[in-house]
Amino acid sequence: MPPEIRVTLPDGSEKRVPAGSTGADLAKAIGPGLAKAALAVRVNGNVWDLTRPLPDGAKLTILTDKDPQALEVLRHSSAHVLATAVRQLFPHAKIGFGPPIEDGFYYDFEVERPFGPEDLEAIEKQMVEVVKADYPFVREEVDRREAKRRFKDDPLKLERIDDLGPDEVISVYTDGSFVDLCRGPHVPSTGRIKHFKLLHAAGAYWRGDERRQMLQRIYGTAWFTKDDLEGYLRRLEEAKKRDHRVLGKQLDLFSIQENVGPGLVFWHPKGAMIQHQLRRFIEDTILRSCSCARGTSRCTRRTSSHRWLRGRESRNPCAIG
Amino acid sequence: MAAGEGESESVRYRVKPMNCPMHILIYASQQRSYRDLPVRLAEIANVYRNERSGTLHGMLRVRGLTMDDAHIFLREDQIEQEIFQLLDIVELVLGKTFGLSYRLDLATRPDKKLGTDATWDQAERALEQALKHRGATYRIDQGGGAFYGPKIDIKFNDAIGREWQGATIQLDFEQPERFGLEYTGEDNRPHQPVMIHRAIFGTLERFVGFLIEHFAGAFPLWLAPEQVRVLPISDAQAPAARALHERLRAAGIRSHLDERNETLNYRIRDGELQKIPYMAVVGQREAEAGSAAVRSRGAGNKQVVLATLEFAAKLQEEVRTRSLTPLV
Repeated sequence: MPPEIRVTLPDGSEKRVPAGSTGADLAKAIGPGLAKAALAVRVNGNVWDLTRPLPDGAKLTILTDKDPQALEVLRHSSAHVLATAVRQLFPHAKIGFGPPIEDGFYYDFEVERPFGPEDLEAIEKQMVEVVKADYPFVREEVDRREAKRRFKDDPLKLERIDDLGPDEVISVYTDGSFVDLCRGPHVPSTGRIKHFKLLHAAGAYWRGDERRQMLQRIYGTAWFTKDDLEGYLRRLEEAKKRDHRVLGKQLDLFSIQENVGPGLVFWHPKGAMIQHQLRRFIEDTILRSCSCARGTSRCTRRTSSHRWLRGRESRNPCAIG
Repeated sequence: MAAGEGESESVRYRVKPMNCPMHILIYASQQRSYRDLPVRLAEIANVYRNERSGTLHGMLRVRGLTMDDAHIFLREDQIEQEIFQLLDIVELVLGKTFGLSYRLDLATRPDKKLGTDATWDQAERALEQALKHRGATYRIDQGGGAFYGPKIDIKFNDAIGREWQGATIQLDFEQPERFGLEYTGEDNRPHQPVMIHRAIFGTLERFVGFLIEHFAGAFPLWLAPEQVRVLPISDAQAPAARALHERLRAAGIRSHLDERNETLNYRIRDGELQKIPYMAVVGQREAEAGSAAVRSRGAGNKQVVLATLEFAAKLQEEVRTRSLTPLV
């Protein structure tokens, strides 16, 4: 009899499956409906691809499109589909990072010129082809030397490999002709990504560091159903109409003068009136319970004996002089 | 050298990034007894933070922040009652005044933390009791607290369902210790107070940015910079329109007079684009009767004729109650 492993399902029941079984095998053993719907598997709290052999004694949940974590996987895979399409159209594009984000995903590329709207259109069309081809996402674990060989033409990836600790597992994912250095997990194949749209492109510094080169970041969104996608796009449209920077100008509420300094708000009279009303509201209702409203100095000696300027992250103060 | 350029008798200065230490100094400026607590210090203050340029976004992420900040110094046994009151303020502001649905997340101790388990036990229990007594729905964010204390995070949804990170009620065991803060207990011995950092709006920049997007620029009357625009149909009604405008101003209403030599339709369209809550049209009939034909924002071409005094009274009531819906 072949060796077996035991796994625990979400309802607490135990299941025996042959050693070496994957999430996909388990889903199939539970039922054909689940096998079809399965996108990934949660193993002891971590999300894995369906193709990895399961460990003995694991607590497992098969993820379908009902699970919010599966949506994150879908979006991550969508980022790979985007990069696959970009590489097909722009073979010299160098790849940076491509994570899922709230409501969607992005991917950073180093290219000779910024992407325009017509590029995005062409890339989106190419993505449809990648989806149609239904390439499986194949995971491999490789050693450092092999990883460097695979990404020899991708300096950004090489830099990333150099940053990985000596004990870190290096995994790569392949779909069609595209290979990415990636932790995963991914949906079983590109064909699972059906409802997506590219939104816009913007410059982004490599690793968010303004001393490094500017990459081109393409943003997109992906959902499990057409309704979800359309609903999201409607909300985006609505959000655009409400953009406070646009309304702030139209209603003459505030401005930001880049030459004076970014991030410093100029309150115009009408905006200042709103601020004034909010202050009155605070003073009339909220501060009633406080002993006093205080006014403390706006600046301090740099070499203050109080160590309060240290010890809080991301609060680096602005120096004068 | 001009003031503000940072050289004063060769001492270098910097603008402050937060208020906490200032309030701590005020607390520490005198002996405190257990009977004095809680000491609540609030300030609407400008602070400056050197946020990375890539993260700046309109009013939502800025470097010059106007914070509605308060710091409360209290005994451990006062935490629950204090949090209960702060949740009342949150409800007053977000729920009652702005009609927002919000969510409370209780973030508990992380692995690496300051203070004893007993202190955290008591603090977390106090926060949760306050949430329960308030009848609030809340979620526990296990391990999501800062190393220096548990907190309650407030998130709310805007008119199109987007979630916004709102204010935070943060307990702090670290700074009272770092600054050696004390009060004299009932036992006549020194004890260390707990500190609460709280902001309701967070920063006025971000909150106003949120309000602009939430209301799509159509602010409720009490916040609207221009509350009423008075429009005479023609020059013949200019004196009556001016009289109405003056009476509204005298009643504390932010009224503006649009006597431009443009058609009425043009001026109405302009008022609509500016999202003015009310436009008061004065024609021959209104001029004679001392009334106004009032168009409420969003009500299309519908007009309600009101006597000047009645109109002013309704506006005052709408402002006083901070109503989210028009009373006319």
